[in-house]
Amino acid sequence: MKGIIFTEFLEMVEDRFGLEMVDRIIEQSDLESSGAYTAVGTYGHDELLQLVCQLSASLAIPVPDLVRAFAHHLFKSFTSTYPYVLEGLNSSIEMLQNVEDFIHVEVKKLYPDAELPTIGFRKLREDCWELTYRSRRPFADLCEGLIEACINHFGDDVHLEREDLDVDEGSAARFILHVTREAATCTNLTS
Amino acid sequence: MHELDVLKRALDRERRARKQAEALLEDRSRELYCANQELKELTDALREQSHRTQAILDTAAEGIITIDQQGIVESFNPAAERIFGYASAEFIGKNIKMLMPAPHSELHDTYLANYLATGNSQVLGIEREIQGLRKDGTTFPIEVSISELVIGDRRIFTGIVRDVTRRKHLETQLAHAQKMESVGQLAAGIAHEINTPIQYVGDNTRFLHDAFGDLSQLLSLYEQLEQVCEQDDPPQAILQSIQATVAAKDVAFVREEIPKALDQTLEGAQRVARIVRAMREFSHPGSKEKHAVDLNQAIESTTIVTRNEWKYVAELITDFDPDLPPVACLADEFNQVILNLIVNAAHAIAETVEGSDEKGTITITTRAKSGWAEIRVADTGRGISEKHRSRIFDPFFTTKPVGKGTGQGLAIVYSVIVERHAGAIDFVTNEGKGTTFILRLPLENSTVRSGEVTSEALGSTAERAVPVADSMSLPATQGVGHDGASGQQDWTGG
Repeated sequence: MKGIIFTEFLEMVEDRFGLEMVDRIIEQSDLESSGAYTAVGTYGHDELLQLVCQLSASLAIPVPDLVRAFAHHLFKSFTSTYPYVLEGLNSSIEMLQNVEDFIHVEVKKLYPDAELPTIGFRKLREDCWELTYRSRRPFADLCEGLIEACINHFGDDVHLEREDLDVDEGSAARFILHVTREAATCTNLTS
Repeated sequence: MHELDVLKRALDRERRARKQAEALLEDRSRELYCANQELKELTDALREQSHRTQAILDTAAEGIITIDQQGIVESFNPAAERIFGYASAEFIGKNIKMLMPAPHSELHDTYLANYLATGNSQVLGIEREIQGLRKDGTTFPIEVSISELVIGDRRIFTGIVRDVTRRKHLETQLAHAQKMESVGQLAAGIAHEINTPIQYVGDNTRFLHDAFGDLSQLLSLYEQLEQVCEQDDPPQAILQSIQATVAAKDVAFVREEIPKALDQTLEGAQRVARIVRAMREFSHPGSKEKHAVDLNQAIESTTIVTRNEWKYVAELITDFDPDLPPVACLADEFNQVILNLIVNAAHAIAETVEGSDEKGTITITTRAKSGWAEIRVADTGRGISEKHRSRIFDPFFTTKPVGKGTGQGLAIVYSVIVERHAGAIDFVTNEGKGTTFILRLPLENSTVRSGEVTSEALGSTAERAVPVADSMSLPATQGVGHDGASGQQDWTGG
């Protein structure tokens, strides 16, 4: 997992809970990297799981809630650092449609060795879309958080449903987006 | 203190993270450098290859033209510029059909569209001879071969073009020289053929001259008798002179021989006229356009012209189909073909009858069969040995002694029948028994000019022979052309 995830996570923890919390969760985890992360490095995703778990234990907040909160932070940070990913987009549906074929491609340019999840996106009917998440890592919660952050960013009225899928390896989930306004009126959407 | 420790640890982590980043940066720089080097080498190699390819295009003797699937010219090398008279800058972007005379220029778009829709084409990858159109409006013969290249979803067609005007001119000269060589070779024989009837025309004329002199004397005596009778003088003296003259001049013999002499003289004159006419038809410069020819008549003329070549060694029998329609062909070239075959037949027979009083047989038949005019020239000569059968149509191949043949005869036969007339040729041979050559010419009307192969033409430009469907009387071995393939190949241009 790319270091940027770790640096953003620790930055969020420092911003919200202080440097001491960062130090605590690092010292309490058994990290091969000893907690020294650079954004361009690559580290095992189990280290992130340890840090999240330590934070969850310290704050008594469930891990999924923490991961979703982190996803919101991540979305804001990415779109702030790389504003061009939002250019020409008018709705969350348009952005989610772009994840696999544009955003992930841009990520690969910066981090060629990044292992990214596979995102499928299709229209089920006029006001209903499906997003599928498949990954070697168990971060469907992060995906859900990013979708929520995206919807919030555009201010769309979208009801999100999630279904975890059974897979032999890694993790997979299916998200159904029920659109009530804004996104459904976009004329350049394709299924 | 606790806060200090926290800060120290944070600083330590930042320091280590920074070192990691620096190491990664160095690695990335190294990778980037190597990638750049590789890219530079690749670029240099591509540039060199591009230069080399361009040099080949620029220096190629053949015109190389590429078009897209709409027929629009994308590249036009210097040789193409020279061949067609267009500068590449003015021609790139134009439609390739501008280099074709009508009607092909009007049809090319359709040809191309049909190929793109169906994938069926019989022109890709084969060399064809067609007419090109220069910028100045003149047409000229070219050889073209076309290939297709697919890059992504784009189709590009490459045409290699060769101006064969000079070669055609040389071929014409060669054909004419060959014809003149034949004429020269036959000249002595023809002179002999003409001399024989001229001899007895002369002999008979001399006889008639002397006979006329004798009869004139007799007529003078009859005139004297007439005068004596008119004068009532006694006619006995005159009568005795008349009787003596009649006896002396053998008038009865003269009366009997004069009609014969006249017949022979007329026959001799006709024979000379026939030989001269045949010679004139044979040696007349041929038209470059095909026109309807009575093959039976053409063969007949050629047998007359070649008589001295075969009459000492063979009987020549003709069996012509009276219903054979005229065939569109180049008359002088066809005559040359028949001459070559007859001379070859005579030479083959001569080798078998040498030293004897026997004669062989040359049989020439014509038939109309299933859209073809079939001509067979059969001899009872020595046949063709197995080791030579695959080569007899090769230019300059000969089994005759030095000075007796240049080896061009059958090569010309093949070229004329197959390549110039889209016909077919085969042979059946049996060593020691004889050989039969079978020629086929299409009976369909053709509007092509000589040397042009179009969608209306039939036959192969590269393959030989059609197997003989019906068997010969000789228990023969098939010629090398026998491959079981049909003699007809339809192909459409475009």
